[in-house]
Amino acid sequence: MSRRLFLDTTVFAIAYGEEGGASDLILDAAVAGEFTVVSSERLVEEALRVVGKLHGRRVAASLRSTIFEFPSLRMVARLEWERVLPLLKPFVRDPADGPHFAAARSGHAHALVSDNRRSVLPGMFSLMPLARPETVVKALRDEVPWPTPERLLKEWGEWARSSSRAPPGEGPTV
Amino acid sequence: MAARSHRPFTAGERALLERFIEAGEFRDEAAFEEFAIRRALAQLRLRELRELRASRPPRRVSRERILRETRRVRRQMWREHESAPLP
Repeated sequence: MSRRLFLDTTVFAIAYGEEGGASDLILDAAVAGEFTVVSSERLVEEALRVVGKLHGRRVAASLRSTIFEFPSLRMVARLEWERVLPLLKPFVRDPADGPHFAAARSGHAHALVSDNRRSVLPGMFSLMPLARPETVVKALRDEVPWPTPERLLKEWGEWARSSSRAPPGEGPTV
Repeated sequence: MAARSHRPFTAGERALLERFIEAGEFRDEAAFEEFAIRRALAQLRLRELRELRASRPPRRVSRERILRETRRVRRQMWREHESAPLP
């Protein structure tokens, strides 16, 4: 239970639509208290707006009840994440992503779990590593050792080199 | 609903709980009980969510659409944030 993860909106939105997928399994682990969920009011609000738009208000309301019952939940207050926001700003492509990385950092998360790989620049990995749900699920099941920030950066770099959607000119060597 | 009496922990259960507390997993017995209750409630809530999914299977939404919608909402909230700083 000592692992701490910040779950991005994409995890909640994908979990509902992809039964048995990596995001769905992460939700199972969060409910079982297998790790501490680090979050913020802002993230929950965003996730509910997105899920409400894509799947309906009833689903969003049900998701809200589930999130607030997570047995190990650390909510990071705005005052906390705003303090570290300037530290992270240089490493996000869109300033709108800053608050979530800042909340993850303030809540001492080991990684921010997201399917959105385009949001960061490589320097972010030394402050708040980005992990894909598929990677996290394997580690939670002890199928692989918990990935180090260097390993997560390498994985991201491999994607960045092969994807036309990656930040231009960025790679794992920075 | 009638109140249920609390069954005391068996010796084995207590030994296990003490090991968890020693390992720092829980602060004390009360923290463990709170965790156990919240987990049961969370599992109940998740089951309700899954029943909702089973009764009304969600329409297929591509990951690209989810990323786009998340981006749209996130930027909208960022604009709201920028225009409403903390006092």
